[in-house]
Amino acid sequence: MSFVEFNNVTFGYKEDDYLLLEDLSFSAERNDIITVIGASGCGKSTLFRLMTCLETEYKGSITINGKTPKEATGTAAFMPQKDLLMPWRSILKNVTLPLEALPMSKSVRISQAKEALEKVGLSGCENKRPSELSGGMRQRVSFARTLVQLWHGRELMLLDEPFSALDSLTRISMQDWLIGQVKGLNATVMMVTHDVEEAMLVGNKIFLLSGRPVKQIKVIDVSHINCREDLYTPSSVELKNELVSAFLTEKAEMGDNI
Amino acid sequence: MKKHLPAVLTGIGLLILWQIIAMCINAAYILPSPTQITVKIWELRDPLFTVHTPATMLVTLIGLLISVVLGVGLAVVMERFEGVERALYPVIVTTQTIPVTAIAPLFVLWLGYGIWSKVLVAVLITFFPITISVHDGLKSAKRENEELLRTMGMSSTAIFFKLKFPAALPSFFSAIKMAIPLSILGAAMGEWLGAQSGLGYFSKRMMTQLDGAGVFAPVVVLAVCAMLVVAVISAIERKLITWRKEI
Repeated sequence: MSFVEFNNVTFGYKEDDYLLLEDLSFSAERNDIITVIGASGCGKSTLFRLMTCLETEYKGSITINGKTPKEATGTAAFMPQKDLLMPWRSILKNVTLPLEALPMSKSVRISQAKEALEKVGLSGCENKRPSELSGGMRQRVSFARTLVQLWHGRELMLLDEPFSALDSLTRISMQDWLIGQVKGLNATVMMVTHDVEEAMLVGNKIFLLSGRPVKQIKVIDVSHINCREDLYTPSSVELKNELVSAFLTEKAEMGDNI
Repeated sequence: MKKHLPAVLTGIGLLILWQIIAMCINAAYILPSPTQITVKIWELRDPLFTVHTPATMLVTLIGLLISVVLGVGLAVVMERFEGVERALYPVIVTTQTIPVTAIAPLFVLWLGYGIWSKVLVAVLITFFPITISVHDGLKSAKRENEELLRTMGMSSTAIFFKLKFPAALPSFFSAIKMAIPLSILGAAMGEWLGAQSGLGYFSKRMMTQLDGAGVFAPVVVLAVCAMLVVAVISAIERKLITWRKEI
């Protein structure tokens, strides 16, 4: 059995009169690093909402490590698109936040949060407020907040367009930074992105979503791309062009809603 | 200090203008000058500050306390239970169309000339802004933040204390600052309708004696009290809420 399994899942938001996913099946193996790409509004983030039990009204079956999302609450650590740091909490207290839902002493929480901040290169920022940090640093704090959850039984990391709000130069440095972070994790990672290069660089597999509703996912192996230089080999350039062309075709088919 | 200078200068300008107009009219029972009011406050300092100001402030504080407990409690219940919100919110808004000044004499009839009829007026006037502001503050917590906490496995109670309560604090302080002058106004209004002490009662007594400066004196004391209490609350707010500009 795969670590994440979607079997014939059909889903649409109540307020919309159309389906986003129809009879969709796919699976992800343990310790896979998957990047999910597709046109805007095609349902990429919805996959995460279904896996984290934020949406429960769907048809078909979803399992994470053999359990339904409801039973698997506590399996996925979610990093949202915006950092969503609480302005009234210090950086350290923002990172301890998910640990406050777990039975552990305050001193353990603090030491683990400090360790996570050290891992993301933000030692010394513990007592700062989120407003004192740059966009890239705030995203790293958000990553640290997700990271500490992986140390407590969470085996699936869901990253929802974590760098979309950053400027291009910061995004490039954050992508390189993220590769080092996720490849050393003992967890299954799924990351939604709308950046083709980011998808090729960070993941070892790309899930390409297309159509509305999404009926199937095309899986592309990019495990041979390990660093930024690998993006410029002829095969990588060809793949990139294929993906961009798939996007453009999608756009032409769906009108200009992308 | 520099940023308050225009307001201070405007205030001083208005006082000078008032002084000039009052001197031209030269009828203190109609429009006493600021200097005449100041002199009157000094002359009446004993009854004003030892009897009537404490009486009015007691009504104000009891009224405010009851309004805060009721308003915050109701706001929390409405936020937690949608059914209660749907049932009560329109009713609370409707109660604000009832002119408190018109029904206040009834309170004297029901509760007598003691402090409770005045407290009720103060509560009715301040209850609404506190409830609505705190309720809106609780609702201002972003849905995506709430969802993130849910993915962390937080319970509704934990989400309330870790997200909604701090998010509502700025609204709570705004409501309190708005409610303080209203509470003082409610207390004074209640005293006007019937009381044995208080600044409203004192002002009414001076009016029957056609003592213009005597009518103004308690009004000035009321305004100064309101400003002082609001300043104290603002100082506490600045100390507690350092993130207001970030949300």
